[in-house]
Amino acid sequence: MSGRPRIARPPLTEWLFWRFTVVVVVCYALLPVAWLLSLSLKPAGDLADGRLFPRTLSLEHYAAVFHDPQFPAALVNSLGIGLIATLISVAIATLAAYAIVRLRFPGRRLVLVAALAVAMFPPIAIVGPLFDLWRGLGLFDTWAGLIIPYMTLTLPLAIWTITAFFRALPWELERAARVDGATRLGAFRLALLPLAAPGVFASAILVFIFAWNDFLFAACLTSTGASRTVPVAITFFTGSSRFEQPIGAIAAASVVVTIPVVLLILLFQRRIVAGLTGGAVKG
Amino acid sequence: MAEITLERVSKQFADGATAVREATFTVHDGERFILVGPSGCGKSTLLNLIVGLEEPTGGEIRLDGRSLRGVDPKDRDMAMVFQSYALYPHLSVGENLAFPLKLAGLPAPEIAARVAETARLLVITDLLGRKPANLSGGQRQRVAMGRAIVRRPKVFLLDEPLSNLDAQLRTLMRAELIRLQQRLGTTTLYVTHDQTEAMTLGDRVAIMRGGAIEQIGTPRELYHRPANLFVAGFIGAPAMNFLPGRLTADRLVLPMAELPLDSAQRARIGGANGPVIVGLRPEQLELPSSDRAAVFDCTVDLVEWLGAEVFVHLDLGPSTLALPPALAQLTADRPRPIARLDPAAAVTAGQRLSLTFELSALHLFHPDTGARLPERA
Repeated sequence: MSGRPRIARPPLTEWLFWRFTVVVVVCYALLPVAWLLSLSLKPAGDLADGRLFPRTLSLEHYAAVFHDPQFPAALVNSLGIGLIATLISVAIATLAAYAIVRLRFPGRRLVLVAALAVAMFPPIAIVGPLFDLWRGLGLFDTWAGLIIPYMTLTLPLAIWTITAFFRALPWELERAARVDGATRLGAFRLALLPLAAPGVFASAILVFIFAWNDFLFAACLTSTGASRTVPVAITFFTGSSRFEQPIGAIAAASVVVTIPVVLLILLFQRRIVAGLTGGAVKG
Repeated sequence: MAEITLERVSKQFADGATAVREATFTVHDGERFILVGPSGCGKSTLLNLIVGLEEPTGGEIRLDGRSLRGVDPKDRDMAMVFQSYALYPHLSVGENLAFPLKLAGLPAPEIAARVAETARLLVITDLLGRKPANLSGGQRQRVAMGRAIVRRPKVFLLDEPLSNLDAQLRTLMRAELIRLQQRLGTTTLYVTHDQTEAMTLGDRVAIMRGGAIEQIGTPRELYHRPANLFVAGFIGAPAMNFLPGRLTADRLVLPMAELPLDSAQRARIGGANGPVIVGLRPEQLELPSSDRAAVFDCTVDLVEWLGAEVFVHLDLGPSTLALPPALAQLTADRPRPIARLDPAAAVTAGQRLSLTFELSALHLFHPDTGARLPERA
């Protein structure tokens, strides 16, 4: 029945090889982050000392970042815009994926291909027209002005991910739910969504990270603190004098914006990895 | 009361394939009705049509005289057990059982009482807190049954419910299903590809092939008077032996013997003179005894000893009879006839063997259409 096949322990050389590779990759990926962290904790005078481990630790840059009224406002914008865009995008993608997988209608494949085409479109080509359009429509420098492009650009990815997840789920569960007395929507909600949760969460995180990290749209479609997001706000940091680079503050702000993403992934990692479908059908 | 009537029900899929062709039958109240046939014959589709997961493209399905056209599955008051059981993996056994009751909007105490009662009936009370992933195949099967009966529906629909169990458990659950159904008295439609299940479980059995119903009848009727070659070959294990034959005015010519017919016998058999297909069940072949003279001799090709019985594969030797077209494809994968004999008989491969059978044991079929030749009383 269940029970994984026992995997033989690999030979020592192979084991060492994989461990070594993992360490190299992790170091390579984390070194810039460590450098950033180090910079953010150095007092202003030590910024150019070239050490990885700061001589003295100071939180002055963090204090400065939060004293600047721009930054907390930008955090709120980033969080709000990111969450709303994620919510809408995932909701639409989930329904679209359901339709693609479970309903028979002409042009099902076309929807998938068209979605892919949207994803292929270079964002830089959209930004100019969008700028004009948004000014005309009054969406320039508003939350909606960023939510709409984020949602649109992440939809294809979300649809594809969730579609793949739905495909892997047995249709019989929904059929059983229908016979057990559920409406079509009820079967979707009670017998499909709980099982597809890992896929939905995975794409939600991808969408959120896209919106959270975006610089291009945020830079071009905002002009004030009303909708400016963190990546753009950081570029507006200035040193305390014209001779000082705001490197410490930028580093501190960057660390601050990284934290929610890391938290998010740690929090939902289990849900993403969990194989929830075990035991649904014969095993 | 629940009587299901199908009238010329057809289902054609969008790609043009016809899954069900003009199915017409009535399942009476409280009856165990079996749909049996090889895989892909449309029996599962027919079940889906009845429960409403698919809409028929032609004909009508009625429940107690009321048409089910356009009625949503949730409003049909039927419960279904799927081949894969389709237990909700994120819910515990108890929650699985409670699922249809919650949807029906029953109050919580009533739900708890019914779940407990059903769990007692199926002896799964100890499992209520477990998740389906932690159940064995037989336990899952019980839970699936439980989820169906907990609602006290008008009709049970079972789609190959036992086919994922091992042989021993299947025999056990088969008996249990009959007992359960007799106790509840609920009209039951049961789909299987296994003729043994069909014969043992069914009050009546419908045999399907290629979307069409070939014959409907009690297991006895199907066994003793199969309507055509397909039904004759499908029902019974080992399957019926088919031989080419030729009818003349006063005899029936078989590959291994010529049977003289008196005029009364010839009249009863009916059918025109000429080639026929002759069916003879393995259990109708017997060793000759004091009051039963040998009818033919043959060579033993292979012996399968099973303890309670022995299957003897026979080599009838060369024959001059032409193979009728309907028979040619049937015998392609099983050229040797089989006799099912008393295991006490000491039979070894290669020996000569004399066998006997009664004229009345023969089934005669049309050489082209494969339909049973009409007998005259």
